[in-house]
Amino acid sequence: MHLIEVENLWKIYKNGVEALRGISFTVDEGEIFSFLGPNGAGKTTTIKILSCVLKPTKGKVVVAGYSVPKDCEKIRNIVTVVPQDFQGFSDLTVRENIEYFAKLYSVKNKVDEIIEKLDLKEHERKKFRELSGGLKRRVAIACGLVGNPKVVFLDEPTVGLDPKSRRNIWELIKSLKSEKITIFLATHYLDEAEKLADKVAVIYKGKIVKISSPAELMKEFQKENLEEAYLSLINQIESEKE
Amino acid sequence: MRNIIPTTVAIIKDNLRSRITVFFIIFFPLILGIIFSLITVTPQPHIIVYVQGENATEVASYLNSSKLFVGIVGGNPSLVKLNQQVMFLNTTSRKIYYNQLESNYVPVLQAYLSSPHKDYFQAKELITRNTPVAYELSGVIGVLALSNGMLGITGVGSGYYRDKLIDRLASSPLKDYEWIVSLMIYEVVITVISTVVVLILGVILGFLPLISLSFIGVLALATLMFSGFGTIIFGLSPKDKIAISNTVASVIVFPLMFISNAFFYPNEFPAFFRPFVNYQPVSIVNDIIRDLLIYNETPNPVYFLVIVVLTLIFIALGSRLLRLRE
Repeated sequence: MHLIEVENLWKIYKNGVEALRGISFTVDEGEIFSFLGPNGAGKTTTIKILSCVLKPTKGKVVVAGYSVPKDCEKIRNIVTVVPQDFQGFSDLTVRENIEYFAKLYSVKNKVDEIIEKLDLKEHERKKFRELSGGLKRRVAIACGLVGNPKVVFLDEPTVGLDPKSRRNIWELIKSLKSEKITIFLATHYLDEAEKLADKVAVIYKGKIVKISSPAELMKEFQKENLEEAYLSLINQIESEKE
Repeated sequence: MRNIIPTTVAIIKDNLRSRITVFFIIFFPLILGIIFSLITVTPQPHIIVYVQGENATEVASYLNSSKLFVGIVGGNPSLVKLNQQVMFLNTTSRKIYYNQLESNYVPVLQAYLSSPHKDYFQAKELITRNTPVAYELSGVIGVLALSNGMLGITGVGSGYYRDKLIDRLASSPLKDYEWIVSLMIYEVVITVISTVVVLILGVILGFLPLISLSFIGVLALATLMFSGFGTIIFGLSPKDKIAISNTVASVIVFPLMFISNAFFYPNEFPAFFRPFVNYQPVSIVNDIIRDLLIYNETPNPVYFLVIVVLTLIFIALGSRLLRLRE
């Protein structure tokens, strides 16, 4: 079952910039869908439209059976976004931040469970701003998960993290998949997508240029890892344009 | 609606735990109050004497020939309570009305008047609450509504924007109006805290303010008005350079703060400034606050109406411009 359906989606900003130029894709329930592309390719814009922060200029967007922008109030209750560099309420404690988001999503009695699940018990009384980068990212995810989302949008979730913290976040993402939560992962770390994603979509200058599984992409370009396959794809596109 | 209370509580806790915010809420008004209470206002070169009764024009004209008194025909005794360096002279009943701050000038005025008329004027003291400290501190309160309202919204808003909190809230069930109302309630709360600090300072310096529900209501309304103005500035600022909103707000706040009746009497400004000084929003708010806090008078209903209308306009415009999402 497709949890997300996007068809011919366009986003043209007021200044005339065409951030998305007719992209189409689907994401299945419980899938980890990785959105790859260089900076400014349109990854964040796509997430913002799917999570009802921006309105599409044109095209069809359906999330869990609800249409964007018509059913946005319902969509906001079932999706969660973890923005890049999310800082939370910096002088609230970890627990207070999670409790606040639980109230926004009208969820009761889940804060302790989430704190346990994300291994934040020993940090729950620390202020958000006192946390390390990896812990901040975990709290950001906790603030999202406390609302019982069907879809979690992760925007560059491991940027700036040390290798250990990156691995911890990867394990967390895998555990979400096991709970049938759909993950939409925007990243430009190809190793991350290779390890985690069921399906990858490569977006380049507002257009999707490839959708396949990581293995298929590597096979197509006869490369041993996704990063090399991705670079070959980008080189191919750029040489075609020249 | 249900998200307003948790969001307001979160914003209040988040900000009141920051030392910088506490400095601006408690120490900034305290420093402002102390500085202006100590300096007070520069004494006027003349004492205004309102004259009414027999030969009022002649007596006023005579007073104008002095170096000290300015005679004006008209007025009433209550002006003495409402203004410093003002006296009232009734030439029919032969009475001089003055407040305790001007008592030193009474013998001078009596002597000056007795010279041509050989008449004795009986002096009558009316007690005023309008001491220099009262004037300055009530002015600080109006300034707090301005600075907390405008700089509070742009400062807190741009901080949360920079921290991506607004991005996160935009994708949550929090509604645009819930966010704006929460921010504004926070500004009202910090203005009330700052005002309490100023009033305690006033009591220490001998000013006993008349605190009433009307005063608290006007204080909240004024803060909401300036917060609404802040939301307009924030909403119009480009989001990729959101810190600009704070700069713009500061550029607007400082002239409003100092070219007003907050710290100086309007007649101390050059004549071309006076219409602005008298009728700009901070001065109107200060006039209402002084009526309630010092004089125990009913504020000018037109002034009150102006504040209500401006508040509604600013909040309506601000709500359209400051949105969590498209």
